[in-house]
Amino acid sequence: MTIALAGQPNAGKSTIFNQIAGVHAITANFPGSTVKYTRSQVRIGQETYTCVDLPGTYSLQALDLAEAEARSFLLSGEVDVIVNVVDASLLHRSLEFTLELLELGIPMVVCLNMMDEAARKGMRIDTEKLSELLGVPVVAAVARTGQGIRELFLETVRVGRMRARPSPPKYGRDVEEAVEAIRSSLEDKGATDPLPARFLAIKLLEADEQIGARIEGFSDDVRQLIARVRSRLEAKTGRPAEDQVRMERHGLATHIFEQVVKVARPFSDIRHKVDAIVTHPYLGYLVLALVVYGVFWIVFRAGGLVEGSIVGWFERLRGWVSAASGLPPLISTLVDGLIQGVSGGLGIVIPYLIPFLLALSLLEDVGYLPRAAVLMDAFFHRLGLHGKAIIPFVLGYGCNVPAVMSTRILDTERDRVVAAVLSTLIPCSARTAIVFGLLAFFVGPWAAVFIYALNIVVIAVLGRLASFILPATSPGLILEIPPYRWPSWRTLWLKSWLRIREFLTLAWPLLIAGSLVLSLIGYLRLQPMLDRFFSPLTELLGLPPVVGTTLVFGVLRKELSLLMLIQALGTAQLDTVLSGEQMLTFTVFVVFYFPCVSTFAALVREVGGRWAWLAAGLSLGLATGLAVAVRCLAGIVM
Amino acid sequence: MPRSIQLSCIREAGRTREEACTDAMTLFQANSGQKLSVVDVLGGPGLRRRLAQLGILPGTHLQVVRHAAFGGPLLVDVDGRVIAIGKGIAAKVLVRPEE
Repeated sequence: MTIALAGQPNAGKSTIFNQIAGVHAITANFPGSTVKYTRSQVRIGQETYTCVDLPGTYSLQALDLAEAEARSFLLSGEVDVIVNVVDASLLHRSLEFTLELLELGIPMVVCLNMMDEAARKGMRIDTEKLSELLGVPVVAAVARTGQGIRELFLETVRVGRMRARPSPPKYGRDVEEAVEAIRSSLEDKGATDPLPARFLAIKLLEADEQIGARIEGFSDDVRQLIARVRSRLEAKTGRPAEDQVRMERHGLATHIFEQVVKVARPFSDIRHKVDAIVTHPYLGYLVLALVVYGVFWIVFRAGGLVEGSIVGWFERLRGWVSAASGLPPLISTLVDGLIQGVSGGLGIVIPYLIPFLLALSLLEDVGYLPRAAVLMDAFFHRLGLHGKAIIPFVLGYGCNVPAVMSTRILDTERDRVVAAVLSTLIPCSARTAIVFGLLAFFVGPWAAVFIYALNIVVIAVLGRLASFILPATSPGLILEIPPYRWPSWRTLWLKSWLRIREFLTLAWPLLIAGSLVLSLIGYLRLQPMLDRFFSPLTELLGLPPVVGTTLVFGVLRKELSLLMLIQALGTAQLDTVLSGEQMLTFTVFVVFYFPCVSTFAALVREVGGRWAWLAAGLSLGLATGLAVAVRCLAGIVM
Repeated sequence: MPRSIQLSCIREAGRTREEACTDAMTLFQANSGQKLSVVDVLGGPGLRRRLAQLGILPGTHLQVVRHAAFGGPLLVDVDGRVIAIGKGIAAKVLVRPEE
């Protein structure tokens, strides 16, 4: 049996999914945090079921790629039972989608999630009455704490086993007549579509293009009949048929809402006062600056503290190993490489990665990103994008792969391509580890600030250029702003842990292996050959010749560049072998030069190979140009 | 007032041109805190659909919470849900203050 979690964006589908399936799906407090579906086998009672977490969709009329994914899964015939997840505090608005889902004729359970939030708003919801009116079971829950989740799935399984098909909602007389006329003609023609004929008829009235395409094969008289029925309805009601259906569905939702909800006086909500400052036309920018500064400061302080002590400790260890006489040179070289690989990961990447990922997850879960989108909308417009595009950009600071994937929430292909390509230039957490571990630590925090500022300026300039070459077509921002939510510390940690684990299990072993390979290269005296190969680049950037090889590793994982640098130069006290100017040039190059292989693969998947190669070429050219420019400037200034 | 807006005002049943159009305005022109009802959405089917999904369709009620600076979006409260709407789109939503 396949269970699908469907509902409007930010209703908590992924949170419920994670409760039942263990952590698989990334959750966050902004609409569109899930852009593709996640499938998992779950155990409920004695049996195993397939549970699918769908991207949020406001209605079955999919308007972006993430919504299209949810819709096509719901219409695929694969779903045996739907769990319609509803944000109880937004019941009124959510009911329209619930009514639309009922039309599919698939067994369904409504999960009233965030009941605590509804209570805070002073809403008292009569779940029994709601269940009676909708004709399907309604289960109240608070997914964040796990309350009601067990009952929800037991009920879901029961409904799924019974194959209880819900009865679809009834509209006003005019609409019903129109629906009936289309439905009966579809049935007369022997429609073999697996979807209920009534559902098809309603969608045809709503001028749904994809359903329209499904009846392409029908004879002309069916299509003529549909056109006739639509225009008759339009003449009777005085508005487009799709508006009439939508308005009636809205009216129906309001009618149900008014019968099941009593609104007492809401508790005074401090969040409104907070929001008045955070999204204040001017103070909002001050808050934004403080937030950015806060994240920067925490990462710099916390990471720097650990880097200093751990690196020093490992350097002493290396001293002892090289002093230990009697070891064969090959062994001692390899041990040295091993120590450097281990110390690089432990001392330089992890101290910055952990506070940075935690801070980013906190911002995501509290609900700050959509507010930042509001503040930045006017500026993003100058780049030919709108504020929604801030989400891929902010996610990019964590990792470019989810950033590229999140461009699915954007409305047009043009916006997706521009945002995806530009978001790969955002310094991800791996590059942040380099910026902090190398530049901020050895040269000073201002050098790191310079890199981030330069990065933003470059992206802005490119965005501006892109809007000349590919003129913007998107009409503007339409984005739901969810209420602030207090994040659960467990979720924060688990989210960060998913990425840290990736570093520990994938990047770190790779790093240690790379470290050993470099030691071996050094031992076999192959280094000069490689150095000669990279010499045009290293000379151009004014870097020591051994640095060339390290850049290759960065294509696999960006943080490897720095760690290999330590290996290649033979010390973690990098300030003894590189000048500040060289560190700056190196960092600029590494930050811009090529999306790592995983990001490249994500680009190919999301926007196609052509754009991916363009992004790769563009970034390589940019990195070289900028690094040379910075080298020249730094020569003058420093 | 553009002709398209006038026509939508007239479409509202039982109102003469004068009655309908004197108090209608675009969402962009509305003041913060004012209670409004939607008269019409002037735009293509895509935009109408997107707004309808979020509950902005003729006959529904909403309230402007705040205008952003630098020509940024408006925050609009629709049935307790806050939605940010860019000014270009807000200029296409025709509203009337509620009595």
